[in-house]
Amino acid sequence: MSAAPSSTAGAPGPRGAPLWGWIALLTAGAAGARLLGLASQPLIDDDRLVADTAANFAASGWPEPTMWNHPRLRDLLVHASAQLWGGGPLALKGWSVLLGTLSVPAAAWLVLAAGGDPVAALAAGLLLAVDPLHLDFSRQAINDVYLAALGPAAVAALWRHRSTGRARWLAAAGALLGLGLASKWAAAFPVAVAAAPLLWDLRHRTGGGSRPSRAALAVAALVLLPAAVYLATFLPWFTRGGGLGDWVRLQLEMARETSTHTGYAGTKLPGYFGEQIGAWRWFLTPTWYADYAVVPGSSEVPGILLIVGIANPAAWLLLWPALAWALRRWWRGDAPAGRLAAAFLGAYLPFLLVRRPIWANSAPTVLPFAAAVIGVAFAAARRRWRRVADGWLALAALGGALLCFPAAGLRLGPSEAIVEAIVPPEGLVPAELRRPPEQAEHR
Amino acid sequence: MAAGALALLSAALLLAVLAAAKGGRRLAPPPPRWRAVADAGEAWRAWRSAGVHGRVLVVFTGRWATVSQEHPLPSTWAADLAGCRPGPLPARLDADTALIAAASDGTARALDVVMPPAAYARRLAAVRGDKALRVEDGSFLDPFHGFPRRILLPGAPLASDEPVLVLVEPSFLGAGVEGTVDGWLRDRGLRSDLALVALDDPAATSAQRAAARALAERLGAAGGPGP
Repeated sequence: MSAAPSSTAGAPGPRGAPLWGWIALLTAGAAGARLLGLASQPLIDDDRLVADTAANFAASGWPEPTMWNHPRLRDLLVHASAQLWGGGPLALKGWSVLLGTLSVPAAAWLVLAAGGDPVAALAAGLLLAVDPLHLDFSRQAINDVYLAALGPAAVAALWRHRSTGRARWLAAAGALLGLGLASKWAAAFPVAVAAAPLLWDLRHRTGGGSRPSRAALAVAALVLLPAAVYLATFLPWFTRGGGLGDWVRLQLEMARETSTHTGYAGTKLPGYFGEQIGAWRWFLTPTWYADYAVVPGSSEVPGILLIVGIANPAAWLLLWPALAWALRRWWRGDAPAGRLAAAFLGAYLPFLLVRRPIWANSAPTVLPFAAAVIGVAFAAARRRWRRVADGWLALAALGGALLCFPAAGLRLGPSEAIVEAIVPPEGLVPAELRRPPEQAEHR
Repeated sequence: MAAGALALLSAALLLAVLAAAKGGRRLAPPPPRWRAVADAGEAWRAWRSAGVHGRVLVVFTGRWATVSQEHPLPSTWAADLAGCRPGPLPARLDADTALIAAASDGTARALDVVMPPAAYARRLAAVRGDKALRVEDGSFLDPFHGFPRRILLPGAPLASDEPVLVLVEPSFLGAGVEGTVDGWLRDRGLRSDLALVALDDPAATSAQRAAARALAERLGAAGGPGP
């Protein structure tokens, strides 16, 4: 590699308080969009199942009726908020709203902690704030979107530790990793990639402090603390009387199911008819996820509320060119671009390589890392072609905002036509009414 | 310094969960005893009345209880049961739902089901293809969503280093070991603080019900069908 100017060299943009003011504004906007009409939106099946599972797990450590194979932080949080504020939509989905919203500053912080410039950080935050798929899962009680905040925040804290040498950042990274792991195991992948340079530092004696003390700190912060936090989220399960050996066997059963998961029993049609499967699609084709809520009405036949989250094509489909640019810059010695590219690959490749169906609900966990890569590429492009770059960002923001309406169960202007153009007809039929084509022909 | 503080914090969290686990295992008050109950549904009430929790449950049965698809259990059943006080059986709790109730409310943390050969073969055939299934010599492991379940033939070994809960259903009787269920436990070094003989189950024949009454009498099982 030859040394090259960093992607941040001479970068324009706000810094200090004005920068964080802009980030706060984006965060406030993201919160508003995620809360819009949420209190009156009917619950989808997953929301109800999450509420029931939280009640069962908190009461007796029984992780049913849904997602027994995943870690259990969500149960504890949802149960706590349901106890405090009742079983309404905001109590059930409040944690998703909160963490979905916080993923906006987390993505901006990720870019800044990598050494990226403020414009890149703001672009990443903006793309995330108005992404319809991300917004969709920020408005559901299921917890995939937790990782969209906890994962990038843990990575950013790691990078802050590496640049400042302060132990508290490493402890923060460990705590965030523990909470991330207690949400979904996929939190480990980008953090592992980001932590690898710490091993290099230890091996090559770079950085301050003695090697044993730094190794002890790294182990305590990145192994013991996350493991303890993760373990603590199983407290209700331990009240069933199981010991550590039983718990390890449970983890192995969970891993077996998760690594071979093909959908919960009785919920899938052959060929996943009407569903979008495969992480390879996420940045190559428009990605979507459709859900349905039953709307109680005055007539005997209830209405159906269609909720369709479409990943913002104007942003997602630019990922590969942006990544290619970032990798090229990395080859030339641009560390921030390289760090963000590596973190994205760490977050994304496991979903790409695993040999079992991957649904679009996992995509929001990768999106902050993708937005960060797109953000730095945008900022670099903007320095050469400002009008074109700004025009693209405005288009992406407006397009994303428009598609946030169907993701919130609302319709505005051409959003309906865009949904119908992107989502195949079978995807717009409630799951209970879908029939695979060969069955439909005989009916 | 920071590493030590984090290690201490981690150790404290570990100790907290281990304390919770220890407190989660609760035995029946002494002395150890056999009791007769009307059926498995009443067994759940006996466990609840005795305050047992977090236990290994050994069930001798010739059937596999299933929950009706037409009348599924409420999805918050575990939470509902966990909050139940001793008294009349909760709705939907009967001989077919007692074991899932015991598993879901934490009465049992593991289930060992001893079955006669024909019933064992039927159950094994029914779960062939389950990805969690592990077949061993004379037994198979078939965990339910992480909840440990072992199904075994009467001749298979079974060990536990803690007292177990025992339930004998009439449909088990006829497998050749019914007269010596207590001996079966003793031969394996198993102790029980609360062992129940159900006098009826949905698959039992009248001969098996009579055998269950005889077994209860021979073991001096106190109690009865319950209030």
